[in-house]
Amino acid sequence: MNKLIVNGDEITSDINKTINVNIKEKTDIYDVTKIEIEVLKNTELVIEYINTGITKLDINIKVLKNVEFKLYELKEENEIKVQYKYYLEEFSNMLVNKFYDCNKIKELVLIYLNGINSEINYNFNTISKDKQKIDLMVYHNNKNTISNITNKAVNMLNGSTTFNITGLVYNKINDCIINQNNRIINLNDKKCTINPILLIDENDVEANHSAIIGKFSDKELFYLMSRGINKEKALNLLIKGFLAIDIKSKNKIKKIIDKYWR
Amino acid sequence: MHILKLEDLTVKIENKIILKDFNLTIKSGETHAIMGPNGTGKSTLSKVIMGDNNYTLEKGKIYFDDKLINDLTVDERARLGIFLGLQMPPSIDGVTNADFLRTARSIKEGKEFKLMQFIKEINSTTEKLSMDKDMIHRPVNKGFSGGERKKNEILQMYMLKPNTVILDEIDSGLDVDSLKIVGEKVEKYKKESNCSILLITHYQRLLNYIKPDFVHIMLDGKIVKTGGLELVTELEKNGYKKILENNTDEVKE
Repeated sequence: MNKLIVNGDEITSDINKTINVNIKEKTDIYDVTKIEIEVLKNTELVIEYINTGITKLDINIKVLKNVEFKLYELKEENEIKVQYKYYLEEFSNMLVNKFYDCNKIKELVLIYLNGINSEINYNFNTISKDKQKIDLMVYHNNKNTISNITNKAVNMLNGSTTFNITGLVYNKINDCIINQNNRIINLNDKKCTINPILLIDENDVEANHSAIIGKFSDKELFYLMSRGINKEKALNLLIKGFLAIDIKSKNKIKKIIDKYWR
Repeated sequence: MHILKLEDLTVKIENKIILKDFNLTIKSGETHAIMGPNGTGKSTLSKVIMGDNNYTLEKGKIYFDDKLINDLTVDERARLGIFLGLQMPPSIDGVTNADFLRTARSIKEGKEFKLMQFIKEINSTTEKLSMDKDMIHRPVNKGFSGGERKKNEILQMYMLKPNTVILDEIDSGLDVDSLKIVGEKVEKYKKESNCSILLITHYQRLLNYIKPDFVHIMLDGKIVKTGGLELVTELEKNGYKKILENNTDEVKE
């Protein structure tokens, strides 16, 4: 499996011939490191962010024709600003599973479904302890393209989350499927916002979106507690269930959640 | 010997009185069946015993083994050994039955419940209840039929070994075969553990398998008549109206 480790300004890679990675020196005044990734064959990549500094990244990923690519990310940084651009060529398929345990996040994700029959399945889970803002835009630039976008957040401490999720389909780009599912569990009283936006200029498109902000239901908590599980542990179970995601390091997520809810 | 004593309970929800001066004492080894028309407060009673804070206890006391438990939380009551099998158990996305039960059992035992022992015990219990073994790895009640949910409640009862079992309409949603399995397993558990049982039901059919020592008829938030199995036969024959008419006459006299 391919692996990139981002440790503050230092980026190390352990990759095979299925992908090309090009890490560019910081050249602009914004202090941004640019990473260009080209996926040549079916493969997987894990990106881990392990430092607690302030990191600014611009990550561009291009998935070539007929290639199936899986990206797993774990971020435990203090503050991070990332811009992602994913370009998918025809008949390519991309899975993105991200789990964040960060304070401040400002992230822009741009997904370009350029090739006919390209598909992205994007799953983002975060524990929000400070202001987190995610802007995600999916451009369905070709016919028969599919986007399944799921964003989940659990707000704690000073956490407040904003999801601005936009799907775009232009005229004559038909037979596309767009699914957006956004959920925030608010364990504090901070403001949360979900803006699910569908900009569709074509009749022959299947589009669904859901946006839910709330707490775990009293019924679920009562049920778990009625079996002798205290409230903190019941929350631990519910959060593990809510944020469960495959990032190729399952115990890591368990340990992070155990850190906050014992 | 464990004793659950409910003394003069008056319970409100959203300014509506549901239970009024309700009294009942249940001892180890006893089975009490509560029957009554819809909306008389039977399910409320079960939730109040368990400590559901959606209900306001206006007046009255709940004792468990002479200890006042009015102020105990739901989990604290469960750890005393009180178990509530719900009429409509919720489904919980992402939490597997296995994680849920192993966590609950570990808390009960005060130490981590060993995985191998857990697997052995749960496999044997699912087999007893004619349950699909795979459902233990599925999210709690997610995609379960009504009958599977009820069997799952009984599975939890077996795994958590309570001393006081409250079953709220455990027979609803069960087909004939499943009703027999559930009824027989509850009765078997009672014989093995000498627990007390409080059964809330609408129908005699469950009582063919779980034999009650006492049958109580509940109306407007309180018990209006107590008897034995003959009361159920009378009920099946004449319905609540006749029984309650007679009861009103008795009160008038």
